[in-house]
Amino acid sequence: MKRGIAFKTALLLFAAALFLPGRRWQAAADAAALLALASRDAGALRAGSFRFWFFPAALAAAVSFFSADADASLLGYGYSSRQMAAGAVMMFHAYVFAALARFGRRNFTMGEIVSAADRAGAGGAGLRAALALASARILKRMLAETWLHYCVSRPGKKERLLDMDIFFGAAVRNAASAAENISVLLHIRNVDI
Amino acid sequence: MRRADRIRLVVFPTAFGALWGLIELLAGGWLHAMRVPVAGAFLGSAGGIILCAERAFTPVRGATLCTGLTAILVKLMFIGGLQFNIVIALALETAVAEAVLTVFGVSALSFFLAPLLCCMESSLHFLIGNWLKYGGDIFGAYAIALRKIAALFGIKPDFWKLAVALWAGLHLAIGGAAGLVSVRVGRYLRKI
Repeated sequence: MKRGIAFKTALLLFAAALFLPGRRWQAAADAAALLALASRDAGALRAGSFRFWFFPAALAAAVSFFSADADASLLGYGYSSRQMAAGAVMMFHAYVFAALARFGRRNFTMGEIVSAADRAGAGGAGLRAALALASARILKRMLAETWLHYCVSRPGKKERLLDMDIFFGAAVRNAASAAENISVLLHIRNVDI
Repeated sequence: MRRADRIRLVVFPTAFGALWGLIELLAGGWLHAMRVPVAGAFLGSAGGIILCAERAFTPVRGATLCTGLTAILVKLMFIGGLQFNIVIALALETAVAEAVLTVFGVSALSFFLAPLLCCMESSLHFLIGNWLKYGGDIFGAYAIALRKIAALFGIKPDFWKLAVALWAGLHLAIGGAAGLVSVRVGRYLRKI
């Protein structure tokens, strides 16, 4: 399976899991999404860090053990098996989400995404990306200079907050000026958009 | 449509999208590094102001969407990978601003409302982000956890209403201030 097809298939199955009724079907769709990802890049399955797992694991455990309808026990502590199952499906779904994100990061560069969008007819995505990079380079210098001048002329935090409209006005004017210059350049060069 | 207008329609949203992407990168990086609370509210408000200013230059339906898409592209290109959270946040703010500017046009009202609603976007982001990441069951788990926490500390079970009210008040204050900045920027540009 090609990586693009694997990713799209996994994305569709992941989306379906959100809408399917019943936890078994949701888990099955998530498992199928995981299989689709693993078929192309098994390394993507090493997803999630301690920080990522801590919150859902703690929440799922707390909800199961503190639930009023405890019907099973573990090491003498009563817990709700229904809540535990819900927590397990929730964590599995979160794992598939993390694996999808990892697959995307490992297998697609921004250049590939832009060219794919361009091929799919997304209104000159390639040209837009090139223009965005060129504008970002110009604006980054302008923005840094504007901020520096703004801070030097307003040493107090209160002053800076109160005059924020002046900073935004200057940043917007700079962006408009850069856009005007690029527009003139494209017009003179006879670039058709 | 004249060729010059077509060029402006592509270039202005792209340049302003690049500006928003840069502000997200620079200010966002600083706010998150300094662990400033409600950093998302400040960033959302800044995005709202830039989206309004851009729409003043190209008052065409869809221009705000193009600006937002460019901002997403710029941020992802500089980060160097696909980050779902960033895409969700910026896409929601863009959709909110586009809706406001399409309904109310380029006016003082829309310039005030768009940053205010973009600032409140984090609540929508929280709901959609959690639903995508954990599925619908997460909200039931939150409700149980809140009830248990309330019982554990002997506080009223509806204490979360106060927390939500405080959160909303803080966001309304930041968003309202951003709305006023946006109106002033619009007047400074002589567009509203």
